[in-house]
Amino acid sequence: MIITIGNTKGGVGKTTLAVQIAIARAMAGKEVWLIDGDRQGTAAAAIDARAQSGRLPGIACAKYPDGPALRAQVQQQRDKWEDIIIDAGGRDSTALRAALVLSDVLLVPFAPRSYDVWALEDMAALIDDAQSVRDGLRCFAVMNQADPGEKSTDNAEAAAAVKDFPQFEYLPFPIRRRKAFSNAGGAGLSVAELPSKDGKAASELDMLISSLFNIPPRS
Amino acid sequence: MAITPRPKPTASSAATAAQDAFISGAPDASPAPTEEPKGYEKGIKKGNKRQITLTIAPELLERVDQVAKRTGQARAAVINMAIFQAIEGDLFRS
Repeated sequence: MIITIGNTKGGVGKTTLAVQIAIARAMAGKEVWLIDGDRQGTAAAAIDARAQSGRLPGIACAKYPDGPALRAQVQQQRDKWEDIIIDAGGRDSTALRAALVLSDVLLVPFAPRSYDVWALEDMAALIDDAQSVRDGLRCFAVMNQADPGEKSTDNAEAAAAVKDFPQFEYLPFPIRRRKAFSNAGGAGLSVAELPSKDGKAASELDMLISSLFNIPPRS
Repeated sequence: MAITPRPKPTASSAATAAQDAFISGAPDASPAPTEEPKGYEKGIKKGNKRQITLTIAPELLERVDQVAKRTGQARAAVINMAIFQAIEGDLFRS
């Protein structure tokens, strides 16, 4: 499956989630190819850190910030991998658009903050454009950096705001704001691999991943 | 093997042309090469204008400056306007 973690807005945790998902899938025994479609190359840097520490499983990671190159390479190599995870965006870019053309699933992380919710509108417009040139892209919005606590008003309001956009299916498995995610990401580790394990972070991620990779067919 | 020329982006089939257009519609796409219209190259480029050298009789210069002062314009504006009037009007009509 080709899954893109994308949003035209930056700072929503695309790279953090992409790295976590890629490592988790590799730990589950899948052949995973992580593609860094962001010019900043943060995902690739995190995987470099992982490689230098000798941590197994290693993650295959390529950097294609240019859309046409990304598209050509993924089209050619897609059958060699079970999962291709593309980290794209932070802005409207050729890489993000190429990823939208190729992917089976788009995961749009957003934080429960006004700016993030406003930015969903831009992403929804881009999805409309992408859907007009292809078939079968499934788009999910997931709350990232959610406020702690089950009863956060901001979380609930941000989740409700997603319903304004028919382009997204809301995935009710929020990832909360936890140090474990940023610490693990910086070291190129999964939250499950951290020396001091954060069980809540790991289980949130497990829930998200198991729902992403077991998507029921569209009714 | 001979030396292979650097591959060029291939023209795509009609089926993917819409996708190509969508991808290259992103703000960071490299712009299509366009022919820049070549302007007149004489004079020294100063912004959108050109600097030229002009010698002028002091009496004429004095009159130009008087007009400039009276009409509240720069000397260059008066000279430009006068030349424009002369060229557009009947003075040099062939």
